[in-house]
Amino acid sequence: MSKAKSAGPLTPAVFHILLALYRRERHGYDIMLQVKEDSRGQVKMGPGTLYGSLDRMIGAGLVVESNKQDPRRIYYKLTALGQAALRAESERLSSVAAMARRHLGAT
Amino acid sequence: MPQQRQCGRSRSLAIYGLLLELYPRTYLRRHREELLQNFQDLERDSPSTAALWCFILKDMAVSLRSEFIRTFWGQTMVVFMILSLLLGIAHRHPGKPEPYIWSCFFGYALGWFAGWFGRDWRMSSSSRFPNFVRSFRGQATMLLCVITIVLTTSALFPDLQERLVLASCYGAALAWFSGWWKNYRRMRL
Repeated sequence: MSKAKSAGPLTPAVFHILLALYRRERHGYDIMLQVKEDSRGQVKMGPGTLYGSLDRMIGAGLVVESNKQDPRRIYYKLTALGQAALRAESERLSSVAAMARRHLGAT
Repeated sequence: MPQQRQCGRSRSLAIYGLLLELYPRTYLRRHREELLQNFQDLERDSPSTAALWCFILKDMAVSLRSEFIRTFWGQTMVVFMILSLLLGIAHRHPGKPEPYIWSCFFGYALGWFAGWFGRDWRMSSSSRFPNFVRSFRGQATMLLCVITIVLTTSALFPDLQERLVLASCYGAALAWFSGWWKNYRRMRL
């Protein structure tokens, strides 16, 4: 957990991929659709960007490949570190949003 | 009409297959099949061919830059563009700064190579290199060797002394900065 926290703020792309993979393994296209749905169409991730991000997330130990039987449909899933990073980032965003609400409410 | 659309789809896929060749080899080795499958899925769900290509080209513009910049040749290109810019500036304003710019050129290249190979070495060194090289004594020995080489070369070629010392200083500073920056980027994903 401390390692996940020390990773600092995540980029929106990484955060949305982690969110899409929470509790369910998915292949690339499924991740893209889920990200689009979660962000209400605000984050549209293309295939080139998606696989680049997944590579870096695998390197950082946040995600692993879970099923490689079909090379066209490789499934990805979260690691324990990925889940911890997602929780840490969600908490950070919540506290930032709460602080912003307090400031906006005070004015 | 469906046949015409199918033909159009095949052409789009063939063009995309060709465009994929622009990506670095290592990236393609890992993801070519997935990218092609992904394109077919996108094509199936896309409202029009124009919308599909607009989305794909935007994605390629971002991801190509991002992937290419991480390769050895991408990094080399960036470094030499910066150095060429420095030398260009030095030539436009001739005079005293030129020797220092050349020192910076050598130092920058030296530091960048040290940073690049240092990172690769660190990532693969645990099994290939003895512990001594990674220890404080090993590192100190290497540093002493480098200093000895620089001092010996300076003694043999007095004209190059200042440039060598400057290049070494720049090299050391940039190698350190490059290592720090890589670590920072890795943490930030």
